[in-house]
Amino acid sequence: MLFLKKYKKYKHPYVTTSIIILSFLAFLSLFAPVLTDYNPVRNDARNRLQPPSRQHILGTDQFGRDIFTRILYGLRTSMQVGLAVVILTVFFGGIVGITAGYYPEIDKVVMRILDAMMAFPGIIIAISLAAVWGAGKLNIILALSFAYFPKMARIVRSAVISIKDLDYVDSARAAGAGDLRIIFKYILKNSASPIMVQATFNFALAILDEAALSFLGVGIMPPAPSLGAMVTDARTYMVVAPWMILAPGIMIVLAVLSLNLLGDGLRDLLDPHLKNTLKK
Amino acid sequence: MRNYIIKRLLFLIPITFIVAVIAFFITNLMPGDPVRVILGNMASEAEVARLQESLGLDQPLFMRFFRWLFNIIRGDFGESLYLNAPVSEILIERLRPTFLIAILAEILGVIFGLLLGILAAVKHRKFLDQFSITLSLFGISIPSFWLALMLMFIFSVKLRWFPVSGYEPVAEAGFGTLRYIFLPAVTLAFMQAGLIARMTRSAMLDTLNQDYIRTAKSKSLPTKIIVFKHALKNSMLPVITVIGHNFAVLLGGTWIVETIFVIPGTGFMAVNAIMRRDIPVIQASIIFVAVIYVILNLFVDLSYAFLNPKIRYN
Repeated sequence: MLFLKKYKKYKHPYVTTSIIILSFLAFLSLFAPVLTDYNPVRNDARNRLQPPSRQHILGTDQFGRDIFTRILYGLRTSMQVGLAVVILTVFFGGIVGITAGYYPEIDKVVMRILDAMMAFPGIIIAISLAAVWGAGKLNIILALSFAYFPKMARIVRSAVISIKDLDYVDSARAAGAGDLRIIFKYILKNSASPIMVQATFNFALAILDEAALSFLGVGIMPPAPSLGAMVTDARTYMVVAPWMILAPGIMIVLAVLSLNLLGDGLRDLLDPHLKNTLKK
Repeated sequence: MRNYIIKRLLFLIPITFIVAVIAFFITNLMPGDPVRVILGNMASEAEVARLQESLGLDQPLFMRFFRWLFNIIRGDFGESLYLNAPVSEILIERLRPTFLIAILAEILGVIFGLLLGILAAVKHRKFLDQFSITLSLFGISIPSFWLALMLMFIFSVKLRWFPVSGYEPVAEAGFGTLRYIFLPAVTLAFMQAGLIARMTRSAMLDTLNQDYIRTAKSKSLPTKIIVFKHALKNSMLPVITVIGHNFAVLLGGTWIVETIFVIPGTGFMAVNAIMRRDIPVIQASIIFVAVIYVILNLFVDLSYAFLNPKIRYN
């Protein structure tokens, strides 16, 4: 892999830092059931709004639920949504982008439609679609993927266009390779870098937007744990229980920040003009 | 140049058409019959049918789309299902707070973004560069709704510098309006500044590596002149693009901050309309943001031609 080779050579500090943080977050969300004894959705009326203590290291919320536990499960939800959105975006953006880039006959029409779709900010499309389809994890995933895929399609398209007329593709064609073989073996393999970078940024954006949708009440429905919905709860009790609002927000920032950092690092590493950004 | 402008203006037609198609079909797939929402569960079938007819909801989707599109072209977005007033009137009434917030946020974002970006590029790989990179990374990573609540908690609840929420129009409060829109604008400016700083930094770094900058340096021109006169001017194209593309994101952000700070702008109206399935208002809100985006990006493209002679003469 190009990425691993370059990473071994340059040891980019962004990539190292972000991969450490992300592995830690992945560990937290994967092993949530082992890391905590509490149930994220069971109420405990006797322990409402408890400040941080030895039993509840981050305190409890208005239903007496342990906030540390809810953050772990909320992070799990964020990661699931983010990952699913990235997979769908790459898949559909990839199909549309390749078709538009490779077949100039349909390029113009597809591009006009994508241009128009990009006139709507992602969050607005996602809010409207989530309102249309109803709240819930699956619907948010679909809404966010729908909102993000035009940009991915454009990136794939320009990568395909910049590669498809290069000499080695021509020689493959002259050797009798079919369209599918050329696309998968010669073009897609060499346009992986911009797709990887954009996918990383999309992951970050999906976590941010899922939180915003859940905050507005059109995302993950309570009592299911979601970092955004935890902030909504915390808002009501901001004055009497300020610990409720800090923890979920910091968790979102940590996840989004490390993904954005990874995206920056990947872009630096995979950019052919490395000399501008990296020390040899 | 004139041909280029005309071509770009003609592009507006298909794009606006597709924008309208998307806005219409997204909102018409909404579950829950708006008629039943308005009349409640007790309504008889006859009443439902009568209201459906008067709202034109009994017609096939395709017919409704073209009638709707024709009305929009004349500036008629229909009537709000709840506020009993034409949507276009409500929208215009609510434009001002949204624009005040968006413009203040954009100004703050551009000033701090450019400042951070230029500093980072000039002090490349020094402490200030690291500082600015970190700050702008936080800018694009902090969720706006959380930042809004934190600012509200610190500056309104604890320090009492600003009202917690609400709004007074300029006509009544004069400069007092600033007290209401300052925190929402700062919230949105944070992200804009982050985006602009990142783009400014990388564009400036590219420019500072050019040969003509080396020439300027070897002529021992003062750094100030090299940075502001030679480098900044030539780094502005990508920065302007980022500003243009993200103004719509900023307007999307007003949906969230207006809801939090209870400011009666278009964003607050849109979110409420979504909760109440007030379809004409939702359609108008979505189209409003998209049309602003399309117009702004037309200006961005035209400014390209203005700033870059290569495009102008092609």
